[in-house]
Amino acid sequence: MSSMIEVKGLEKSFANNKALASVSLDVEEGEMFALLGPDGAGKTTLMRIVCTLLDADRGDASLGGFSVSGEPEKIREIVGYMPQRFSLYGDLTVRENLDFFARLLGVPRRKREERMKELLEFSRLGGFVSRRAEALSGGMKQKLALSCVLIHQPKVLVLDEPTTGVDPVSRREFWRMLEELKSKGTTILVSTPYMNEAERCDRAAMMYAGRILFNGTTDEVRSAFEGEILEVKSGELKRLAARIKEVVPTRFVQILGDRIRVVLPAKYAHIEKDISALLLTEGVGTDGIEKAAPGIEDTFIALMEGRDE
Amino acid sequence: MNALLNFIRKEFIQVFRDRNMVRIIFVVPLVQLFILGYAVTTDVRNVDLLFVDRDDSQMSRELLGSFMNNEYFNVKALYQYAEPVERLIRRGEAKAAVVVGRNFERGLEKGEGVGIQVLLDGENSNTSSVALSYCVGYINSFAHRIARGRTAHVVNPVMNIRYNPELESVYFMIPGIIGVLLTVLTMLLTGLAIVKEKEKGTFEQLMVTPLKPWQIIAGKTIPFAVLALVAMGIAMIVGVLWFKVPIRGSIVLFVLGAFCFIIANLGLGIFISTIAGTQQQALFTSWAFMVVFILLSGLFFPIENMPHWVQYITVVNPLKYFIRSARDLLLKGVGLQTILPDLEALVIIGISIFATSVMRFHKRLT
Repeated sequence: MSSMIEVKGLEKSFANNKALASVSLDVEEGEMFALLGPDGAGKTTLMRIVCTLLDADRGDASLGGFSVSGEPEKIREIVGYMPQRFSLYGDLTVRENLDFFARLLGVPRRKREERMKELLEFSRLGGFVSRRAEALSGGMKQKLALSCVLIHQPKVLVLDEPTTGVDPVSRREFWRMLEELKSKGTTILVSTPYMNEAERCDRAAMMYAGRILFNGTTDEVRSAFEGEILEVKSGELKRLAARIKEVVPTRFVQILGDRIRVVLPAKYAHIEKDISALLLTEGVGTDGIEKAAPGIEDTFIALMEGRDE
Repeated sequence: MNALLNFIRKEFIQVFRDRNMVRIIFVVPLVQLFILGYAVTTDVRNVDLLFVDRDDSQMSRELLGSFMNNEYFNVKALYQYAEPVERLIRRGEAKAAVVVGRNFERGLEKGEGVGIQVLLDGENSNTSSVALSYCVGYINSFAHRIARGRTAHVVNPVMNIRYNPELESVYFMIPGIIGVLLTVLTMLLTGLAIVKEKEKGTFEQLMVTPLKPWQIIAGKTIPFAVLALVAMGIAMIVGVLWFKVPIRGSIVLFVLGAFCFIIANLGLGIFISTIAGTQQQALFTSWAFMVVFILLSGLFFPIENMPHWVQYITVVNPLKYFIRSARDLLLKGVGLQTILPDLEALVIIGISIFATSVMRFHKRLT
């Protein structure tokens, strides 16, 4: 396996605001790589540099072996970039949008129809070819945008928060499409604020304030969590959660369906005893408390706590 | 080349899909043409004129006669001095007055100089200055007749107004309307079309494609240049067939002038797109440019009447050169020689604006 995207020591500032502070990253060919982090973490800036839309202040990046500063036009031929905002022509129909990008990206005439048919099938937009893009639902818009980006069969896909603001059903459908693309060998770099989406990726990098906090396979990310996670089952979730919040910072307590999930990063781990004691007085026995396995989001919360000191 | 054609094709689809755009391009010019052609008339007709004849002599009646029977004045003769003429004018009973003094005839016979007083309501400076020139014209022709030996024979007063003898303001207006029309279609629409792509985020998408910056610029300007020329053709046809505007000069030169003018405006459109972030900003910026251009173009007010420092500003106004050369071509039928300075100015302004704007645009892109 060779690197498809290589980023070394990238720095970028806007005015006095440091968007990227020495970021390095490697995305292997054929893998699906997630960029995680809250708004303003630097995900979009990083992606825009990789796609040659923005010049870095320092450092270098390459995509498919081409340097962003040296051969940007080569990169544009093999990358498909989907910006965060819907960016197709709302006043053109689904077909016209596809056709426009097909011609623009140099898809030969005889392959154009075939490619459009494939993509309409793939995105299940076949029934909407004559509908204007602006009249599509949020989920369909994203699928159309993905299709337009895919029309020239790019080797690398760079997707900036493609599922933000999309309903859960469409989101699942969108990820199904990404997995299918991955199985065909497309390298995918995708950013998302939803940690659970990262679970579907091979590897993930966590970004915060222009830095990468952690970078590894999703399993590695999960096991990087240090601390304790408790799950409490009870019939009175709200009241209990309020009680727990008396001893634990609110941000660590979450009600999930039928239980309360308490994430205790390493330095808070000692509170575990207090919670157990508290719960005992509330009539929840030790059998009502379970230790749970960490998810990617838990690692992120723990890493953030570590930073704040 | 294919990529460019594809881009232009898309631009046309977008324009024709937008009903408002179609209206702006094809209906608005015609409405402007009819409104400016009919309503905004600077012609001076049926001006109420008081002829105060204190002499009541043959000579003074002869002068009165030369003011009668034309469409420019409604003459009302007064023989008695009832109240100051000024007051009548102030009350709005007349826009102009010609006062002949008591010893008019005698003075003329003796060969002494006689004065004729002309009073004008200067509220509308345009009307009054035109009316004044008519009055002076009639009086002069009267004086000529006297000088030739007082023959009261019918020597018709000859008003020597050239090129637009009927002073049809529509003739004068049409080149201006076409200039404004070209400005809207090129500067405004190009600016809007580029900013729209930025606003909607499609610009970012375009930049990740192999499309080159010059192709984006060409793709954004060529369609509007074509539409502008088509709309100009429509306006010209209506002008000639309906308003009977003469085309005395070369139509080829006219189109050439329009073309130079379009380049300047496309450049401005690109420039606006580099300073405006939203379509609204682009609209207001273009509007600001246009108001200044129109006011300082000589379309409504002669540039010669403007203060000197304002006249210097008009040196960079492309609309001024276009309107001047178009009027010269259509109404006077002059040749290339005469309008060459205007064309040169247009080319210089056009190329410098276009080049600066494209450079700014490039810088924004990379």
